[in-house]
Amino acid sequence: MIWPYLTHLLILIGIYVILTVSLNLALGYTGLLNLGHVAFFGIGAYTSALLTKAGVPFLLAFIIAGIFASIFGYLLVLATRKLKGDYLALATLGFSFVIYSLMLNWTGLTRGPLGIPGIEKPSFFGLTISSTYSYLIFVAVICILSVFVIYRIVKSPFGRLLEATRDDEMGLRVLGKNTFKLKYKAMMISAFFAGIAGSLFAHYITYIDPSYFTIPEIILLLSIVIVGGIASIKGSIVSTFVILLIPEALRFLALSSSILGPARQVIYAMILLGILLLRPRGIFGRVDLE
Amino acid sequence: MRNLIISVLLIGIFLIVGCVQQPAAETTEESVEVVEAEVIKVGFMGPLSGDAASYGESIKRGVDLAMKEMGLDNVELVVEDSKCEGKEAVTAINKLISLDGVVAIVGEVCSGATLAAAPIANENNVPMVSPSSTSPKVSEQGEYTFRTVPSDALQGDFGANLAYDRGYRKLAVLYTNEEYGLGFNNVLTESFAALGGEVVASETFERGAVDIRTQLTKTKDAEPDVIYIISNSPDSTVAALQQMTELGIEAAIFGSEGQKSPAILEGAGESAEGMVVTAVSSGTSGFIERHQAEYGEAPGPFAAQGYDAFKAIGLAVEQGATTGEEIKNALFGSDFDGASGHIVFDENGDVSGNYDVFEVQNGEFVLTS
Repeated sequence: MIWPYLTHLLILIGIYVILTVSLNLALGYTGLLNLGHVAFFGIGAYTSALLTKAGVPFLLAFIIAGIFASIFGYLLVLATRKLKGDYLALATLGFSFVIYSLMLNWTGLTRGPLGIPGIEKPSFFGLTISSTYSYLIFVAVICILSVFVIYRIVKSPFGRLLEATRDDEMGLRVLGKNTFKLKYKAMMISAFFAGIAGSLFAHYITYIDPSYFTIPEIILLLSIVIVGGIASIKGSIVSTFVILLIPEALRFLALSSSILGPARQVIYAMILLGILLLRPRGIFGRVDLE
Repeated sequence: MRNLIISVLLIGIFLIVGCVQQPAAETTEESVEVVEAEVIKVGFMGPLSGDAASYGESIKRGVDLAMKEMGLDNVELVVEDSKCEGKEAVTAINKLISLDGVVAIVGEVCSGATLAAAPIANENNVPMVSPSSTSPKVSEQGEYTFRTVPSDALQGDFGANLAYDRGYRKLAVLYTNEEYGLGFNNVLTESFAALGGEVVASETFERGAVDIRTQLTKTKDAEPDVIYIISNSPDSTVAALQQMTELGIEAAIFGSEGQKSPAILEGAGESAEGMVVTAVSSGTSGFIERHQAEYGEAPGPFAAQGYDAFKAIGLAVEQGATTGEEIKNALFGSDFDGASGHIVFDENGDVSGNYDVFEVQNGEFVLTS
């Protein structure tokens, strides 16, 4: 039976679609070179896991996870409002490290590297989502809703202002727009969705520790967005499928087990390189980030 | 239009890689295909890439050796790389169970990954036998999680007693800030204090860190007479040993089993001289000889435990167990002399501890007890 395996992959893909589409909102549409997205993901995961452990109902914990991540999004923009481009990237990377260190060292709250085991499966309105199939349906609903909301945002006048912030911030300010306000709004929305993706992830895997929310994860998210194309929701979705499924497809290559580990990674890297050589702006990319 | 072509192309690549190669994979699996008997598939998952890959490789050798010696021609081994990461381990175990239909699994290697995969093993009634996950929490993961390596709770206690018995009274600990290091450190420091010794410093570093001078300087100021290094990262240990020499720290050095690695002897050279390593058994002399004959090298870390993990499953299959549940029941009745010692699983699926003590003398690990 291939279904449980596919279901698992689709659940992961659903969670990553929310993550990368929301990252694209901040990075692609608004031009905030944000390397701190994984921290919002982690904040959401930990918030939701700890709250449900403390007896808070799942749906409430799920929403709070998003809101809490969102507050951190505001704080991050507030702290880095004078920075842009490479400098912003470095500062937001620092933010990821700070959150990672908190998760790792605030052992009283997060149990540090021991992680949080036994996170319960979601239950609301009297029904518990215990099987992976029902979890897939739940993730799919949340994922479609999230993508729809973000799609409406980027197509709205507000979305056009965000793109204008990316392309010509000075010009926009000359027209009397408050670009700081635009940026923090975009970042807060982006962080909110990363937070709920974190909650979905924590309650699916049922065991989280800080090692999920580190550099390799940042690189994965960035490569999905870049391969898909900056400022393209369609691109991020397609690219999530491509990037998460390539390593899985490579499991079926006839590789001898002595070279299996490294060979899969080499082929994976070559496919990614190939895509970017063919399509320098990503699969559906329209714009270049400076 | 062009976008469309590209996406179609990409999907094509997948299908080709995914489907066309699949039949090819089956012909090169590592066992002799037998026509009459139904093939029983056993999974192996562990890190075959990433910073823990050397453990995965060494364990895999033990598993391969066990498989070869037992000569079970109706058992096929399916290997997956799970990188010692929770998410990867969950993907790998799902793939092994649902796609390959394995009835038992050797793995995962790291405790964090084992903990993430364990609920899925329980849900699907597939026993998992870990050769190297030493976290005390693995004991609580339900009846389908076994291990052939003793829990840290036992090694920490053993290490504390050893240091105390050798006359050391002021202990400093240097441990990696992860599941393994933290759990080990807790047991070690508690046991040492309970014996009447004093824990003067307990410093932590990230796995893979190569600058440990800050922690070592603080440790030096605390004037310990013995420093216990708990790490599963050879790079960090090499750095720590060299920097101890640099800073002129003269305390005796003890290390957890992760320190028993040729990479550390090569990297640290003189600085490693005199280090005492407590390690889970690296194998009986018979096993070491057979491993040497097969691979031309002494067994690496946990190779003996990997051997035993597969052997336990293999013996269950020999007794006629074919489903996960039957294998689980047979595992609870296991009683054999394996490569790492006598293997009997208790009600948590744990084994009791068999530890060796090594000392580095003239650039080699010498077994002292």
